[in-house]
Amino acid sequence: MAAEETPRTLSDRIATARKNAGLASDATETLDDRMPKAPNGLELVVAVCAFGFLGFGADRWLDTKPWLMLLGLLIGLVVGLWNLHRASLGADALSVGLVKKDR
Amino acid sequence: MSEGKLHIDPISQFAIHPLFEFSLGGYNLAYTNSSLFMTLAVAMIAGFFLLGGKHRELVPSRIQAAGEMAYESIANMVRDNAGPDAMRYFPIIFAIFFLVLFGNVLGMIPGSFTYTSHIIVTLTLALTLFICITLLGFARHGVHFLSRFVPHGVPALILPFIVALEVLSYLVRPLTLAVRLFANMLAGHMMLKVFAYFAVGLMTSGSIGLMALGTLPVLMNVALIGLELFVAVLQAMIFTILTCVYLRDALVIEH
Repeated sequence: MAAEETPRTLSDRIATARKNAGLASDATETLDDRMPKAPNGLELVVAVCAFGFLGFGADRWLDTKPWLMLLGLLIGLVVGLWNLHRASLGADALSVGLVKKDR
Repeated sequence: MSEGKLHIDPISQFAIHPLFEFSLGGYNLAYTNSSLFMTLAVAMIAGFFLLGGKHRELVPSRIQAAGEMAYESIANMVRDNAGPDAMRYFPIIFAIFFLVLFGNVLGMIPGSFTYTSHIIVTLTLALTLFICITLLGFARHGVHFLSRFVPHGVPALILPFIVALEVLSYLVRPLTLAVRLFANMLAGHMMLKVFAYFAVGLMTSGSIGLMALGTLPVLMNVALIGLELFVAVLQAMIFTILTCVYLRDALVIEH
């Protein structure tokens, strides 16, 4: 075997061996990819609570009870659902999911 | 506990007490039990890696092997989730993983304090990371960093709506990161305390039948402590992995 074909580092050699054995994962696969793609309900809860609370604060400040809180809850719900939608696509990087889906 | 009545108080374990009063310029900078456990965690982390790196031998001792394994696993986590380019930020991610891990695990010692069960701690960590990562994105890509909020292939009519959604969902990130860790730690410790109260209440009830029944919450707590140790490690990993994923977003704009 030619000397230049021998991978230099142990991790390269392991990667080559895994590839030859059909166990290879390409370089783009990450630990995150191997984790379950189940959407996390926490995203929804946190978004609704955070925007609802912001609305509540704005209501107290501007004396517009209860409209800004309701608006905040609604925005939180939409943002939370959007996050769930993206999580279910397996796209953690912003906008990646949409790009992949459309192409 | 009052006679004959079970008084369940699972929340007092999270109370912060000042150990040394200290104020500067009107601000209360008291050294609290939370500060004490953070100091302990930092001292233990530093001690662990200093001892592990003391005799760098080809055939490692147990502590050196443990230190090397810890280093390698976090290095792999950063490389896998944030890319090789992110390795220059490895020290901060490594430090955060161990600060969270030791906070979670130290809290499992009965009578100790879990500083990660306070949202002020987790939110400070998450917000610091979020602000630094966002600044890093701007430093790397300039105004082009904002292009990640504008997905391709979206009809112009709904584009403003989608951009607003993307920006808002980006802003929620530090909150979800902080709440995930804090809520898991808080809920776990409260559950342990509630079952411990059940056990004490039943076993001190005086009736043989109830005292026998009191072994059930004890067994439950044994199982829960196992689960909580797993959650302590898992939550530290999740916090770090998500930090890496957010870092990748700042380093690489995918379109």
